[in-house]
Amino acid sequence: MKTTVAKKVSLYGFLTGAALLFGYVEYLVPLNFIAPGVKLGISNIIVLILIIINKYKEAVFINIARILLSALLFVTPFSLIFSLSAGIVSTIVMIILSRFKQFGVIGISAMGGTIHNGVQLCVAYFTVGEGVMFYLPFLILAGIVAGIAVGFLAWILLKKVDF
Amino acid sequence: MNRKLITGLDVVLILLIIIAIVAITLSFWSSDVGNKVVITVNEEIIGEYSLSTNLTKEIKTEYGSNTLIISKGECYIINADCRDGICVSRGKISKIGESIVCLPHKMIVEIK
Repeated sequence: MKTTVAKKVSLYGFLTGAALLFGYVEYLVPLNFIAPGVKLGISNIIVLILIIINKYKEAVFINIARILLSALLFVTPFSLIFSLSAGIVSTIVMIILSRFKQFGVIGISAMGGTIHNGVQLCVAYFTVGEGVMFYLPFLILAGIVAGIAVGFLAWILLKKVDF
Repeated sequence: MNRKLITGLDVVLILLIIIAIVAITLSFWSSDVGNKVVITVNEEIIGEYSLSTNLTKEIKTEYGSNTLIISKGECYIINADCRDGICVSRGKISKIGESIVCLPHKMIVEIK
């Protein structure tokens, strides 16, 4: 199919909106009993799908747009440095892993979740203090579990929908 | 899309991360009951209290206020004026290395 500008605008607008909506849904169900601010990260389904179909630029831009918009709508500006740094670094790591055909969707996603939470912990270490390191095992394990779940959901969508 | 859902390399990668985390955690972990409560705001220590005292203290800073209680060798936040109240839901801490973190108020309460 010929890719027109209109098609691109509507598709990526839709994907940004979907990612934003996913982010809002999980903001309503926080998993704070694991560690402060733990979420499933289902909006990363969109980012992961874009990476798997080799749309790297779009993956980075849609993720940044989603993070900025959700910071504006739902969360405090202070948490923006956490979500933005973790979002960008984890997206780049997933893009690098996806260059290797030996990795499956779950491996890429689990690594993304791990790096995401690792970066957030590093930012917390420098802005809040070293006491946050207590959460390291919980955050990394939560990152792996969430990454596997997100990877599985993205794989189902990739099989069902022709992007 | 011809990428697999999960490969052998994925399993190896995930196992490596888990082994690394378990190793790091075991080297840090302590199950010892602590004896000191250290309160830090914006990386500055603003108070140290013995865990064996009974104390109710309102920690008021430019970022907001949290009410800390030390009682029966345990320490917890009973009240905070931030929007999420994560520090309150953290519950009671008493072991070395355990901490209560309040991100919006840049406050850490740590057992040492």
